[in-house]
Amino acid sequence: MGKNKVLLSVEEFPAAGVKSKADKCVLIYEDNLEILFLCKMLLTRDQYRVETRTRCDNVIDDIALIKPDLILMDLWIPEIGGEKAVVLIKENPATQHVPVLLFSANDKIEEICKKTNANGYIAKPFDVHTFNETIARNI
Amino acid sequence: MTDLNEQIAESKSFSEAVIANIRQPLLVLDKSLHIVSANHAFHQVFNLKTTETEGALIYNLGNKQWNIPSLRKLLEEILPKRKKITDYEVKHRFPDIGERTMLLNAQEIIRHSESQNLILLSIEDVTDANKADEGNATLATIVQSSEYAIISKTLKGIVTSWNLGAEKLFGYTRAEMIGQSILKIIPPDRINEEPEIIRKIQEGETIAHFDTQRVAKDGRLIDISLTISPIKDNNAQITGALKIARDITDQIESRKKIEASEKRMHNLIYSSPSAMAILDGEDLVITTANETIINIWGKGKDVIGKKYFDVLPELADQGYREIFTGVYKTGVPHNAIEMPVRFLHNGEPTLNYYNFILYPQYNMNNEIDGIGIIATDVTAQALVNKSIKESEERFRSLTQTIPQLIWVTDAQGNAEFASSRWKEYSGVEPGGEKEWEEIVHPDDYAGINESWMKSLATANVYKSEVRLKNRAGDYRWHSVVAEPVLDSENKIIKWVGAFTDINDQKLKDEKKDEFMGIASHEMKTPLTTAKAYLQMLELTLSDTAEEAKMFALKASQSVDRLNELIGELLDVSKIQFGKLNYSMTTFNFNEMIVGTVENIQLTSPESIIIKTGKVNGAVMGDKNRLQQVVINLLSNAIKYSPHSESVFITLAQEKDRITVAVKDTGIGIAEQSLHKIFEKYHRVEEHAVQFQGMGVGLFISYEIIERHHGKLWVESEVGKGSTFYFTLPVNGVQQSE
Repeated sequence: MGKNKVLLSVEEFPAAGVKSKADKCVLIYEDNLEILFLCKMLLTRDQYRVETRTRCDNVIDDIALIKPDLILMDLWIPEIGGEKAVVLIKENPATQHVPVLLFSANDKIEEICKKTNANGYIAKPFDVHTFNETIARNI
Repeated sequence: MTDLNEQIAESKSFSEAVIANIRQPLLVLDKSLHIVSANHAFHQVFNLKTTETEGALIYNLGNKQWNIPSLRKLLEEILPKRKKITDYEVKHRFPDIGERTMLLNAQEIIRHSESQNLILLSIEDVTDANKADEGNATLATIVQSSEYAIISKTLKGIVTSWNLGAEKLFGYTRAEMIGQSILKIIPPDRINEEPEIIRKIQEGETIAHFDTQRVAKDGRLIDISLTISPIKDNNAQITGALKIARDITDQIESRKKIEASEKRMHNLIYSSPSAMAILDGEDLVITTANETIINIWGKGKDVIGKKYFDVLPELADQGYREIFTGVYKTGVPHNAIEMPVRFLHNGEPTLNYYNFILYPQYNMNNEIDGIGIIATDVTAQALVNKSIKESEERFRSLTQTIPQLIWVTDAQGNAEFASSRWKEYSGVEPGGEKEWEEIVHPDDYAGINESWMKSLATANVYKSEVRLKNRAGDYRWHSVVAEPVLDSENKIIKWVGAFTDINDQKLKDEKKDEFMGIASHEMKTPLTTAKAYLQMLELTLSDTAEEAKMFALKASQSVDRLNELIGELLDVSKIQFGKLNYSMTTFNFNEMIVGTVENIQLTSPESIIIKTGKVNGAVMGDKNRLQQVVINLLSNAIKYSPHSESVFITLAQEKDRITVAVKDTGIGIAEQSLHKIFEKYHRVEEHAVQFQGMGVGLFISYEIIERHHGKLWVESEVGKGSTFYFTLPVNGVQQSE
C-alpha cells in the first residue's frame, strides 16, 4: 500500500523507533470509522504501514494475506467480537507469533488481555504519547 | 272279813289314785310280779295300753320286751333282801321305743298278810339326761383341747380349770395353776383390773374383747384379748368366772405396723408439695386431702366427707366425671401433662395447668374402692412451654407466609429446619449435600460452598447470590443472607438464613448493566477521538500561540475528567448491584502511594503533597481500586483547600493493620453534613457548585475500603480542614476486634 497521504506533516512528530517503520505493518480491527481514521492517521504519521478491517470474522485469513507485524484489536467488533478473534489468533500456530494489542473502552480490558494472552492493551480514550509508545514497544 | 275287804279296796283305790296322778311312770306289782296297777305316765312312756298291762306279768309286757335280766335280778334277788332299792340304773333296748336308760326305785309295801304285800316300782326314763351328760363330756374335751386359753376361776380368783390352750399361752401347767390365784398371771401394773372384772362378773355382766396384757411363766408380757363370763350353778347362783384369752401379740404388732405405715402415709400426703387426695367409693367421697390440694380447689377446708363433684361441680362441666368414672371402672390410671384446668377458686374463676395422675385405690379384696389424685401445679412451666410453642408456631407460620425460603442449620451447617416454602419451590425435601447439589446451578456450586465454609469458619455474615432450580427445572437467581445466632458465651449455636428470589431484579440489573456498559462504551468512543485530536492540536500549535495551546490542554483535561466520570458512573452502577470486581493481589503499598502521589503532583502542581510515614512490606488488595481511593482522597483534599499550599498524606502501620490519613487545611465540612458525605451522589451542599464530584467518588472509595475489610472515616472542622482516614488489614482478611 505504501505511504498514505497524511493530515499532518511527519516531521512534527518525533521518531518512535529505530527500525525502518515503513517495513512494519499494523493491522487495525475497528468498526468505528472515526477511530479507525484517527489511528490510521497517527500510525501513518509514525510511518507505519496500516491495514484496517471493520470486521474480525476472517482474522486468520487476514493475517495470512497481510502478514502484519502487529494487530490492534477492538473488542466490540462484529461479527464474532475481538475477544474471540484474539483467542483464535493465539491458538493458531500460524498466527500466534503476531503481537496483538487490545484496543477498547471496556473497563475490563486488562483482565481480558490476560485471559486471551494478548500482548498488551491500549484503553480508550488514550493519550497520544502512550499510544505511540505502546505500539513501538510491541511491534 | 268284810272290814278287811273294805280296807283292802280302800287302800287299793287310794294307791291307784296316787299312782294315776304321778307324772313319773309307776307300777304296782303283786308278790308274783303281776301288774296290779300302771299309771298313765307308764303307758305313755313305754307306749302300752291298759289292756296290755292289767294283770300281766311284768316280764311279759310288750311281747316280753320287759324280760330284762337286770330287772329280774332287781326284783327277784335284790328287792326281797333289801325291801327298798334306790336309783338302780337299767339300760335296755326296747324293740319298740329304742334304747332307754332307766333309773328304778322300788319298795315293798307291807300288807297284813305277807302274801298280799305289793311292790311299788317307779321307772325314771333318764335316757335324755344321760345324753346331756355325754354332751358335757364332749364340751370338756373341746375346752381342754382349744387353742384359746380357757380358764375358770372362783369369785375369789382361784383357778379351777386350766386348759391346754392356757398351758401353751401362759407356760404354766394345769397342775401349777389349779388352786392358785389368777393374780399369778396379772402384771403388777394391771393388778387393779381383777377386782373390776370380778365386780362386773358378780353383777352378771359378760366382758367381751377386753384387750390387756398378762405375764407368762417366763416373764414375757403377752397381749391378749379377754372374754369373761359368769359361771352359774344349778341354782343360777354366780359362783365363778370363765375366761377365754386369745393371744393378740401378732395382731397388735401388725396393727402397730399398719398404724406406723398409715402415719408415714399421712405424713407423706400432708407434707407433700404435690396436691394429693383420696376419694372413697363410687360416689368419690373425699376422705383425705392435703393442704396443697385444698388450696388448689379453693373451696375451704370443710370438704372431707363430701362428694368430689359436689365440691367441684366445675370439673364435672369440664368432663372430668367421665374420666374419674373411667378410672374407677377400668382401673387404668389417667395421666395428664400440662392440662389446663379451670377452678372456681374461692368464687374466682382461675385457669392453671397441672400434671396429674388419677389412680385406682384397691381394698383388701383387690377391688377398686376409690380414686387417688396426685397433682402438681405446672402453670409457670406450661406458660413458658406454651409461649415457646406459640413462638415456634409463629415462626413457622411466618416462614410460610413470607416469600423467602427460610432455613436454620446448626453451628456446623447441618440443616435443622427449612420452611415449607423450600419444598414448594424446589420440589425437594431439604436435606444434606446431595439435595443441595441437585438444586444449585453447577456454575454457582463451588463459589457458594466456599463462601459458606468461609462464613462457618469466621462467623461472618454469609451473603451470596446463587441460582436455584425450581420444580419446573428453571434456575432462578436468589440472594442468600445468613447470620449466626450466638449463645451467651458468644459461641455460634445456629445459623438462620433466607433465600430471596431476586431473579426479576437480577434480569433487570443485567439489562441495566448491559445498557450502562454500552452507554459508557458509546460515550467513550467520541471521547477517544476528541482526546486524541485535542492532544494533536496542542502539539500542532506553535509555541507562540500559547493561549491557544492552553485552551487545547484545558479541553483535553476536561475530556479526561469526563472519562473519569463515565468510569465512576459505571462503578456506582456496579457497586449498587454488588458487581464491582476486585482482583486481589499482594503488592507494595508504599510504592503504590509514592507513585500515586507523583502522578497527582504532576497534574496538580499548584498544591504540594507532603507524604510522611511508611508502610513496610506487601499488602493484600486490589491495587488499582486502592489507588483509586488514594487519588479520590488526594484530589478532594486539593480541590477543597483552594487557598492552601499543602495537603498531607500520612502512612502508619501497627502489626497487621495500616492506616492512611489524608489531611487538608481547607474549608472543612459542617458537622451536620459529616455523616452524609459517604452517601451516593451527596455533595456538601453549601459548596455544591464550587466543588462538584465529591459525592460519587467518596461513595466509591467507601465501598472499596469496606470490601477490603477496612474502614473509611472523616474528622473535620469547618474553616480548619478535613482529615480522611482509612485502615486496611495487610492480609486482606477481616480482623476480629
